[in-house]
Amino acid sequence: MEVSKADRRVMTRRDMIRVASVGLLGVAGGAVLAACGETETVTQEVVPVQVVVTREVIKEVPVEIVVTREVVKEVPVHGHGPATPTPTPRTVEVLVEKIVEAETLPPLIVGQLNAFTGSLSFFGPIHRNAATLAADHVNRAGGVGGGSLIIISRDTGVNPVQGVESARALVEIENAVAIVGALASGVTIPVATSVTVPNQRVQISGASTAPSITVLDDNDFLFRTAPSDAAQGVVLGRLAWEQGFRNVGVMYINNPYGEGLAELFDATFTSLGGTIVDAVPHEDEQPSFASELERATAGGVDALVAISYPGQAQIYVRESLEGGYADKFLFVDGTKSAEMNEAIGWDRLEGTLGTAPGSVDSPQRAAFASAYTDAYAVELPVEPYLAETYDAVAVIALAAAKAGTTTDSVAIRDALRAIANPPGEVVGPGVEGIGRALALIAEGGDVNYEGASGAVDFDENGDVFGPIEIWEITGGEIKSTGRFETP
Amino acid sequence: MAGIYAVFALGLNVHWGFTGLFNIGIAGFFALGAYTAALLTSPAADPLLFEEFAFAGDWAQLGFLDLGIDLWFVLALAAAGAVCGVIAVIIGYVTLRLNDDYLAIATLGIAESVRLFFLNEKWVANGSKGLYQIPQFLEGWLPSDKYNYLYMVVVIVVLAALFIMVQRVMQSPWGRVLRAIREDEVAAAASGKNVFRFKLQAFALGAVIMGVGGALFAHHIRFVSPLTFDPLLGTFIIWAMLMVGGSGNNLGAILGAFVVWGLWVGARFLPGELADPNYRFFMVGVLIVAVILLRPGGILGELRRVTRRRGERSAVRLDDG
Repeated sequence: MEVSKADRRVMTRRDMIRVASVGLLGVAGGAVLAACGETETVTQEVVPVQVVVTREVIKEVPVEIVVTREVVKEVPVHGHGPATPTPTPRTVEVLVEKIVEAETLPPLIVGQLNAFTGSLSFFGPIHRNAATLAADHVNRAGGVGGGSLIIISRDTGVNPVQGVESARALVEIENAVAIVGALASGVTIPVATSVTVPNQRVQISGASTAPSITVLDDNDFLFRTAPSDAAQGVVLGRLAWEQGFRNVGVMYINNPYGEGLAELFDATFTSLGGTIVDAVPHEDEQPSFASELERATAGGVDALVAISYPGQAQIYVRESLEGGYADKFLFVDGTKSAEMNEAIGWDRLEGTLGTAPGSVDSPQRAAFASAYTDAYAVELPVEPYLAETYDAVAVIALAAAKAGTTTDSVAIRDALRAIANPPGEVVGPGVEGIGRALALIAEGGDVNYEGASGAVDFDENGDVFGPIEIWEITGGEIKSTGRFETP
Repeated sequence: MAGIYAVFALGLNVHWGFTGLFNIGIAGFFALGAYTAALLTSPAADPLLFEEFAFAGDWAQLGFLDLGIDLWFVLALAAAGAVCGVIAVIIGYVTLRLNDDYLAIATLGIAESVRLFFLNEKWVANGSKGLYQIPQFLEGWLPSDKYNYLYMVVVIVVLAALFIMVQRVMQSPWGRVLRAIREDEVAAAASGKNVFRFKLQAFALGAVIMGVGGALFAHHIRFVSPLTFDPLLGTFIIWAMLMVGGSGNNLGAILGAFVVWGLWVGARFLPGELADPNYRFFMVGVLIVAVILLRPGGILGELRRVTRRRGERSAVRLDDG
């Protein structure tokens, strides 16, 4: 008896090792699979080579003569295609360094909090591309006061613990003067409260839309270039009322995004006089949503508002059509997905309306899209908030130029509204737009940066108010109705 | 942060290292401790901010028992520990009769239930949006960019106190009974010990330590949301720490926490491709395998004679396998 007991004890210790190792290795395996999925998209044949001329001041003689040396070397155009391991941001090189003055500012170091592992890992590489593209444009336009812009991209794993640790390393070890990110609001907030605000570093998120960021006590160090869900919720509520819906059900994904949007929709719609049968949260992955639908549509509804991601909405919208729970829907940015409609059947959703922030077809956006294609040889991905991330980096660079410093984060923060908001000459993204802006700033002129994502005008909370687009499913396509609303 | 993880590793050491309780639900006590401290010290909910939680102690602002220093912090740590202890007794009463493997699954399930409870019961703690107005201990004593050094000292003091406590407890007769239970439950029972009661006490003690760790964490990050308490960074990495450092040895648990967390956050400074975050999972895995093969008892194994025999025995087993 005793012997067998002892046996079991040893076995369990080994079991323990096995369970924990499997846990860790399982996650690792997933990560590797994700990485492999990424490499499969390699379609690159020959890496094009670009001849680069580097000028370098080697000696300065008093009588305004600058002796320069030209070094011609061949470097592969970096970041060609998302799969070439985009050179680690540290190696982003100044392609042509203009010697404007003998005296140049030190490099402007911007840390990016990104997700290479965890539930948003799919967004990591493309968001790094967007930030690197902005840095590249700034550098090709001459850099900030002659200093180059360097992006250091770090992983948060969509986890607050890891995000804070990465942010701390960026600020304390890499000396990043500004932070771009994080993606998820649940990471952005703790990074602000425990790293960027205490250390007085400006932080601009390009993707966090939670309404709570607006009111966060951040000493004006936290900004964002993505509009708060508050705006979309209000527009969505008005749209529902306008469509003649008086009695609706709401299904939303149980995270800050879904919850925030659902609350704002609820507040707007009920204040207009509408009734909400029930707003039902749901978890990530479920094979069926019948019981949630039952609750949301009890007693019959005019329409069902789907505030989720395509993976879940696809299932419950179909269930709802087939089970007769609701046959009219309202969609949001999370459910703006061609694939989802394909799976459900376009004709069954004909005429359905939805809302989404930002994506105005502006010349600035077109310029960004074509620059992205030129740099990475792929179409601009449909994933959201790439333009917002690009704009976040661009405004930091312009603000640094305006403040005349690449090391004083407070001065950069103070200059942000001056370069992003009216008045001033409207400038846009791209090498030319940023070059024009830098030239104007050097002359002491006013600029108003209008980005790829929208007007990028920061209010007193550091929020932007992009217009909300109303889109429509018509003839087997998602089309903009051309209507843009602000709350 | 490594210091806070060291607190969890210490708590786990009481469970696994000394008593042999296979707890893979650390994240549950982590969450309970963090939420308790956060709720007790945060200002009340503001409906204008779409905040919603039934109770907020606001101890930091009330000057609750203010004796010149921020005593509320110590009380919040104690309360977090107490809540975890009470919950652990309830959970333990139900689950500790289960054998090791079943206990493991039960604790894992409970940890997830705790997380989903805080996610779905919005009235308790603001649901998925989390609590983000958690005050800092001794706020304003140092400029905010230097504050982390101060907090590091606080964490080290708490860690040292817990270390001394666990160390003394384990050298006491009570601790010897726990080790006896770990080695052989039947023999311990035959010696007239109430195995279940000792297990329950040990489970509660470990949970109290984990609750204090959770509270330290809440006041460090100053934000808690259900997203934080995932099994990877809430449970498995702590197991990795204990295995690497050496289970059954308190110093080993602390050392393991610093080694594993150092590797986890330090990996990004490695050159070239190795800095890719995905490789970190491998590196921790490789470290565990290496330690188990080279030093089956961990870097610092248990110092007792019992263990040396144990170590030989498990080494033989590993060779056999």
